[in-house]
Amino acid sequence: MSIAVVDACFLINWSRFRYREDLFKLYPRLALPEIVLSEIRSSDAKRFMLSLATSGKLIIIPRVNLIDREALKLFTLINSIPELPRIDEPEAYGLAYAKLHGIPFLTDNAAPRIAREFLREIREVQVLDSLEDLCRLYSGEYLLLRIKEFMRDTGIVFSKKRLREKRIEYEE
Amino acid sequence: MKNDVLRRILESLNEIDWDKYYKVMDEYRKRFEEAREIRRRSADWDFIEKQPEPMKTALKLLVETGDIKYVAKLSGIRIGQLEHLRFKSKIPHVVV
Repeated sequence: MSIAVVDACFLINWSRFRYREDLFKLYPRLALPEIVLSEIRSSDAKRFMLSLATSGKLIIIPRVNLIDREALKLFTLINSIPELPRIDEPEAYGLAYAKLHGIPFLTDNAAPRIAREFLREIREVQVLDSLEDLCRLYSGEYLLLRIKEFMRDTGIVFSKKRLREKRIEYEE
Repeated sequence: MKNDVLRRILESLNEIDWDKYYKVMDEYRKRFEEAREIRRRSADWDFIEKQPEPMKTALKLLVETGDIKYVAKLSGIRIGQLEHLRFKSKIPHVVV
């Protein structure tokens, strides 16, 4: 695996994590859609983004019509399901790019991950969230420790059901 | 004209694997409720109630939906400011 498309929320969360550099053991290079750039305003995330760009670990995906058309289709399809959390335009663009290029899409928004389970259009897209990547990076006691640190550093809480799904027993 | 509409409806219906949809959404409905409960439980309600409008309503909506971008758009509050308020009002970002 060499490249993954990254969404703003995912990049912001990892910019706050003390072991953020570990992410590059999984993906040596991240692709950030240009449309997502305007969403990244926090100074931590901007600093992280600039350091990645300096070290050649980040590429910016230009906005093109072909991806825009696919993104609009996915945006409409996912947002037409009222029970799902909504997906916004930049997320839809990242998902469309990942779909068209057969590379993973990293996001902490649940909607694309849930939708791919029943939407034929995106069934082949690999959608991964932070917990999924933490599980790929660490194992055993280290995994539990890193999950705790990730939650502390980012303010994210993984739901009990999500943790149990990954067979992680976590007590607050 | 009618045939066109019908064709489009059938096409969009075909996009969804309905067996999986019911199974997956049954599970996720519970998870969304668990996430909402975590946000309700963790939130600092005294802090939220003391905020002026539109911040107070925006934070309450954030507890219910968990969707910061949606709330920012609806309330007109900048996402950075809302993120700051989310942190101060102890509303966690729950990944289901």
